[in-house]
Amino acid sequence: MKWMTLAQIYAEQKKNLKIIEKRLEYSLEAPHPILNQASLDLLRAGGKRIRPLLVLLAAQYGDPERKEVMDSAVTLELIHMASLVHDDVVDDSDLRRGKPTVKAKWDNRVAMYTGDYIFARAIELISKFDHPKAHQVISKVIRDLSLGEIDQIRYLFNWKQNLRCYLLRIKRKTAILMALSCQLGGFASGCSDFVSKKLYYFGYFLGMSYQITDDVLDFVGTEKQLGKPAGSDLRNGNITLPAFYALQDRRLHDSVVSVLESNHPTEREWQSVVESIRNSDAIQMAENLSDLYLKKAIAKLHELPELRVTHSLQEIAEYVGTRKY
Amino acid sequence: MSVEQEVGIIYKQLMDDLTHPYVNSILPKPSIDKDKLLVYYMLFQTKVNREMAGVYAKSVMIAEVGLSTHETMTVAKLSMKDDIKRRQLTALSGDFYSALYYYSLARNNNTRIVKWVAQAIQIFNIEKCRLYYPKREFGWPQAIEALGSTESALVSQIASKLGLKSWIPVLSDFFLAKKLVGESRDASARTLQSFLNQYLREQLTSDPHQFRQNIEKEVLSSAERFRKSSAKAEKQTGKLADLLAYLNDQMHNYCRCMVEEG
Repeated sequence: MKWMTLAQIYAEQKKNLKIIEKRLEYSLEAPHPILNQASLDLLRAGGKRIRPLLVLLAAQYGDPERKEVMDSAVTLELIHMASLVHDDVVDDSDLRRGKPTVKAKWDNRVAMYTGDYIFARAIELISKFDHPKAHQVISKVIRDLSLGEIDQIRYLFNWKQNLRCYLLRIKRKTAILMALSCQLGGFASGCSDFVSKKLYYFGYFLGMSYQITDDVLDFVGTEKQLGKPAGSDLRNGNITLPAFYALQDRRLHDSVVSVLESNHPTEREWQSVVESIRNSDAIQMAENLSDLYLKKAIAKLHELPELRVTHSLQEIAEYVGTRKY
Repeated sequence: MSVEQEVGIIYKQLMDDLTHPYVNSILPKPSIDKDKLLVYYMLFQTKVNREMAGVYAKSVMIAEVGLSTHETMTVAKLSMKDDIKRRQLTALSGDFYSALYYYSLARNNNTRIVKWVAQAIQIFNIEKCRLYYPKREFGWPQAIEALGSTESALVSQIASKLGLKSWIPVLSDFFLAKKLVGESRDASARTLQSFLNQYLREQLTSDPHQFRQNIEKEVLSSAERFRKSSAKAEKQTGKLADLLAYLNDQMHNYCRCMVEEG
């Protein structure tokens, strides 16, 4: 069977993704100029649309022409967009993808209204889907997403946290939305619960690997690639996997703890710690765990019917493992 | 068991659902409008049994709590770690509560009400933007009208969907008056004032005496409108007659308190 590159996968879904962009634009229309502009700015900032793509691909295990497939793809991107607007308030970020965030262009309150509005549009759209189990799964994921974000705040600067704590956090923060994208593609296209569950696990393992890769890139990427200084997660007190492994390294432990516990570490101290983590085994160890999740994701694909789309999903998994930004 | 006792039980369940030990250790417990909870409970009873009415009333109130939590969001630049954490959790706990209404209704297989609430939340956010970010400068009447729309955005939507459109003006004026009485108290107490209070003062009148007078006038006007629309809605029978009596008593109490405190 002929393999497709990631670019070919996107090209093959171009027509559907274009419809999704139109549907997103329609969904984000609001009868107030600020709300409308804030929502449209978000849409125009673009993004990989990885979640809608996963819905579209997963739907090929069933009937991808069902209208619920498009509704699900649009809903998941709207949920993702709503969470980004609120995340920028939480992280006090002024830029996203090089553009001013809603909270920077207007203020925190507009960001709250915009996020809540978009989130409500998403829920209204998916409420048409007559599938009780799907609603139970979606609503649980949305609840867990916010619990993951709360946990992230809870464990900021807490260098004593364990690996399980980190893994649960990234599961809730990232992996479950990717898992839901795949599972919902299954539900919406009429797949059996059995196939939908396998798709869920593929998305879950993929999401875990995706977030770990993101956390590694935060240390090894350049400021230009990242759009923010390297090591920003650590500077914000977020102990990600490379920092966690660095804390287990006797040579690095004290310096990492020292910046995390200091009230006002200097820029030089931050840079030094970020540099030492970047040059340590911690990066390789984190990449190994990311690879392990990818292998699990690919193994899950082997439990699914072998269709052309199975290879596309494998290609996506491999892209996640090799992406540089 | 009286309706108030039944609502007391739902209130307790609601508080349990909203409990998050970490959030509760940093932020004050969310405040719940018991009048609104009772209104939802009785409105839903016109269509479903008491048990389900309790489930639906609780779910819609969770959505109300999510929105009111986000209403406490501040805009000032912060530098202290604890202040920053409080702001972060204000955003995130509001999201958590907003997720819970869907979670709760999905568990009861009721996506119809999920849709109603989602539509109402959209209206609420549009009205909030209309109030705080008006397209053109507007005065006291427009601000009060926009405030009235936001205060009853969800409850009006639910009343409308339940086929009780004649109740919308009753509920709008009741909750507007209640909100204004609260703002009036807030202004008198001169403690930390709400964003709304500060906004109204900055936009409309900086004179505290004038501000209070305007608020009192609006409370009395909405109470008067409430009385007229109540008379029209009085034709309703059964449970809703009890609801009307309850709201009338409460309105009387709020107006009396405001006059006495004034």
